[in-house]
Formats: sequence, C-alpha cells, structure tokens
Amino acid sequence: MKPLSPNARRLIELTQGQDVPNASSRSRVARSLSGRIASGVIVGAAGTSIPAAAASLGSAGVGLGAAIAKSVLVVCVTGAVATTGYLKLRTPRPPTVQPRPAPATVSLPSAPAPTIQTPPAPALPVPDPTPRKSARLAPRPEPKVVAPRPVDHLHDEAEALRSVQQALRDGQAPQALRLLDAQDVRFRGGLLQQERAAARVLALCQTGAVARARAQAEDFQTRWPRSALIARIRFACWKP
Amino acid sequence: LNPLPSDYQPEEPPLEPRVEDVYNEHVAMVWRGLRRLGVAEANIEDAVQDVFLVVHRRLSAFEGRSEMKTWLYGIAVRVAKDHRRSQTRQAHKEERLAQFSTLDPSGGASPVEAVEQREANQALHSILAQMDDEQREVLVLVDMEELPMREAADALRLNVRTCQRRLRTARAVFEEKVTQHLALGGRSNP
Repeated sequence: MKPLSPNARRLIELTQGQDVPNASSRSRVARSLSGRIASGVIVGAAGTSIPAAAASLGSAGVGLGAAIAKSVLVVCVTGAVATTGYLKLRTPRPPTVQPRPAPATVSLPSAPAPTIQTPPAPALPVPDPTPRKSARLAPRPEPKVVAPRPVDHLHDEAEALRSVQQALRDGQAPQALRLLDAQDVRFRGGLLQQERAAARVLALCQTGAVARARAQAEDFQTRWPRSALIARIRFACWKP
Repeated sequence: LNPLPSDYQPEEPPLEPRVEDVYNEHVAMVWRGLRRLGVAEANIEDAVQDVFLVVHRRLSAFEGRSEMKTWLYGIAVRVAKDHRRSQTRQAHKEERLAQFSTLDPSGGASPVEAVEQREANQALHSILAQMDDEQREVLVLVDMEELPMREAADALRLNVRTCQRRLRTARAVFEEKVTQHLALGGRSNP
C-alpha cells in the first residue's frame, strides 16, 4: 500500500505533542470519574469494589504527582522535538497575515502540581471571631485556599454513602435523611456532594415529601446541569 | 507424565488490571485519540470519562485477547461516534473558539514554535473534520496512533482486508487535502 507522503507525515509528526491533557485536566477528569463511579452506589450499579475504585481514582486525581510530572515531561520533550517544519512546509506567500502572538502561558509550569479546588462547600453559619466594630475597618480577608482532601476521605465518603443506599433499600428513608445530614457536615466540600444530593431527592420521595423532593431535584439540576444523575432523580417521585 | 519437581510452585494468575492503573497509563492516549476522532474540545472531558466508565464496567471481562491499547481504541471509536452525533452547533462554535484560546502543552518550545505546532494541529483537525467517519477512524488508528493493521481492524470490528481498503482511500483523501491546505499557504481551510 502506498505510504503517506513526507508532507503528510510531517504534519502528523508536528502534532504528536498536541491534544494531550495537562495535569489539572487529568486530575479534574479523574475526580469527576471517581464521582460517577461512586454514584453507582446510588444509581444501583452492582459491585462491592466501587468505592475502592472510586477512591483509587480519586487518588489518581489528587495525587498524580510524579506520574503526571513524568508524562508532562515526555510531552515537553516530544513537543520540543516537533518544533520546526510546519511553517516551512507551507508554500511561501506574501505575509498578509502575521502569526498570532504566542500566548503568554504557552509553556507548562515545570512542576505541575495539580491545583485542585474542591467543590464549594454548602454555606453553613460560621461564627465571626472578629468584633463587629473592628470588622468594618479590617481589610477583606483573603479567600481561603481549599486544600485537596486526603484520599482516605473519599473512601470514607463513598462507604458512608453506601450506608445511605442501604437505608433506602431497607425503606428507612428518615434514617437515610439523618445519615445524609450528618455526612453533609462530615464531608463538607467533599467529592460526593452531588451523589448525596441525588440520594436526598430519592429519600424525600420515599418519605412522601414530594414537593420538597421536587424542589431539591430542581436545585440539583441548576447546580449540576450536566450530571448523569439527573435522569435518575427527574422522575424520582413520579408515580405511574 | 514426568513428575513435578519438588520445588514446583504453581504460577500465580496474572493480576487483573485496575481501572485507576488503566487511567493513569492510557488517559493521554485516549484523550488524543478522541480529539482526532472528532470529539469537540468542549466535550472532551465528558468523552474521556465515558470511555473509562465503560472500562470500569467491562474491565473484568477484558480477556487480554487483544492489547489493552487496541481495546481502549475500540471503546474510544464508539464513544467518539456517539459524541459526534450529539455534538451541537454550540459545541462546534466553541470548538472554533477553543482553537484560539486553548493552550496545548508545548514544552520548552519557543513562542514561534509553539504557534507553529498549534497551527499544524488546527490544520490537522480541520482536514480530519472534512473526512468521512470511516476514513478518519482508520487513518487515525493506523497512521496517527500507529496501531498495526490487524489491531486497527479489531478495534473497528472490520476484517483486515476491508480495513486495508478503507485505509487506502483514507490516505488518498488525506493527501489531497494536505496538498490543498499547503498550497493555500496553510491559512485557509482546504
């Protein structure tokens, strides 16, 4: 079979280092994926190893560390190799269009520590330690930097969510709601907020609090419009 | 039958791969493959997740009859097909904008070199987008992701002969579009 021409091959070679995820994208996808896998707890996927897999993926997202640094380095190297040729490949033409200026952040940081922000925590009343009088004069406090949650927390969080599922399966919706309240506090800002919110809708439906369940379902759709769980909760209280 | 030696140890069954290991090892490959198979920048993270959700569900059934890489490409081809079908006009619009705003890792490349790589990548996507799905799939798997013909045929669920025929057509179309593109100075879509 006729092989590709040198020009076609060169074009492909030039793009070898492109279209690869950077460290933060890898972490973000790993975290979402772990959440979706863990959501199997709620949507009824079988298998006892789901929380473990989710937790491990969470660790992939939170602590990619050396592995990511290594892969990014590889990308840097391949990128550096494939740096000349495309402009030469082109047929010369009067330079009516100047190349776009290089973006300021073209090069990746050399140490791609994943800067993962945990999802916003639900607003809870927090006592203000500063006296009211001085608060007016004090400068606005810097926003807190939210550290990635340790991996073990995700495992614990997924295990805790399983207890909610068990309660729902046993028809103990009030118990499920109590567990969810406790978990929302314990795992504030955790990775499985979305799954807990979905479980809450199901639990409310079970207790017969249809209006509240629907309100929560709407709130859920607003917060996570692309969630795979929407299909599960949309008709949670629907009775044929 | 010869008696077993006294120090015989039964061979340990190979450990099943774990989804997190598969993810760590192959996510970059899956990501790049999906983009080249036509998944828009705006949808790429969802598509990558979809691939690994399938991996999660089916990993225990993965028998190792094919390479992990081939198996993953087989999944990616089907996920990409679904995403291409559902990609909205908005996604296409965002895709065009993304070409001007996303920053691909360009390593230690100089600004000019980085621009050059990005423009080459845009050209490649532009050319691939004009190809039929069948042509694009085989070209991506064989000529870009460098799967052997037999493995590409497995991933695409084709027999080898059909795969070869498609590749021949795909290469001819790709060549033609590259030539047109370069003749236009690389600044216009062919």
